[in-house]
Amino acid sequence: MKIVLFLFFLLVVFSSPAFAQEAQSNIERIKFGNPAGGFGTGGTSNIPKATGDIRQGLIDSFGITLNGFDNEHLQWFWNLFWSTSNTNFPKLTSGITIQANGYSGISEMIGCSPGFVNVNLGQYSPEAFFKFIATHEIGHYIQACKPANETKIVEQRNAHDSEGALSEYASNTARCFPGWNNNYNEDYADMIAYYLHPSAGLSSGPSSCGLTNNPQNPFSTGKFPLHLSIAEEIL
Amino acid sequence: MIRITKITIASLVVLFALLLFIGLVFLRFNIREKETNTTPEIESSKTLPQITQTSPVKRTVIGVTTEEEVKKRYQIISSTSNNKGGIDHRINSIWKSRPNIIETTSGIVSFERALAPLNPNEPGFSKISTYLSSLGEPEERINGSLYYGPFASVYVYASKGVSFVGNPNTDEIYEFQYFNPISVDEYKKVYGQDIDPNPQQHRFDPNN
Repeated sequence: MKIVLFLFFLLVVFSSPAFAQEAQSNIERIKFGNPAGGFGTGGTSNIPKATGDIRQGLIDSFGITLNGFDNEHLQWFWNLFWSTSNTNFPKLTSGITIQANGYSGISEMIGCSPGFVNVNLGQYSPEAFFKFIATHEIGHYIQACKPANETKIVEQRNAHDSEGALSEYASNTARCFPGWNNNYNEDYADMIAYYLHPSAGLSSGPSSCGLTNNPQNPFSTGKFPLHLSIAEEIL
Repeated sequence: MIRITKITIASLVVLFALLLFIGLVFLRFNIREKETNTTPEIESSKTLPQITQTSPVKRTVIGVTTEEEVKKRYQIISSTSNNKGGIDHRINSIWKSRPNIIETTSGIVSFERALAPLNPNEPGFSKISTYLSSLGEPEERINGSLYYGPFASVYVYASKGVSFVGNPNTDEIYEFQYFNPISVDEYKKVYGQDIDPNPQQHRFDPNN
């Protein structure tokens, strides 16, 4: 009889709303922290190679339009979107148009209008660097073009004010670009980029600014729990 | 048989006590969560009558509300003299580094910066399109805000004593500013510190 009562007690505890909420929270954290293809691996393992018209495949599968890119960079985009397909990244970027800007051209987010070019992007190499800069610039697009309850811009700024800027570049935007003072914006774009490229060790800042080469991913330092929590919530 | 019944009753009493305990813990957890989600200024706006209903986030009437009333009604986090001969009283907002401001000059409110919530379900959430419909086209729309970024715009209705900053891409209003009616040039000179003279997004240049 006591055993029956004990089992009944366990049933009550594990079916309580507080326990259910905690379990749900863990499921979400697992989902956000592990993009398909392997969080922490650069996201290229287990990704099927795109065949046929990759550009059309990206439009059909993810709703992103890429103009002027060569097949190699289209494949890298395919890898990026495939590897993040179990996050909100494809949903937040659906409808975006990205224009290739040569192989060493300037990359920038230029607007939000549907059907027009939203981001100019250089076709850099290697793949990890290209994808890092792509997600940084797309991060600006998300920040500027999507509603605040999805982008969490308020929470990100408050995190910046509490923890400081995520990257060395985001701490020094004004120094790197005299007259520009968009530390919050660069912090946002780097938050997206570092979260999706946990092992990248790359920087989105200009080389002329004297920033550390091959910096550690800020999320792996454990110094930015608020930024990490917000990135998880957004993505 | 009698013994078994006694055990059963005792067990049921223990079980009931445990369930009661779990219920109380859960109730306390919920109350704590609600407490942490309620900021003092929202609390005060709920419990105290609004001075004006012009906008849900507006706290004062320019040229009418007194400094004494402001101090009585709102939780001021700091007050400092400004370079216009007035006193800026700061009230917490959703943005940690951009508080609401009520400026008083000679004891009367002369300027108010009121931050709007960005949760569509909160009272005070405001859309640019709604205000364009009611106020008409602004006397000047200036692209670029130093705080909110190059994608934000400032909509100036200087002769009506109001301006707001928002994101035209998302239709969201970030903040309202209220002041005594002036010219656009005066607005830029007196209240235009946040206007970005060079609103550009960062560009990544691999050759630099």
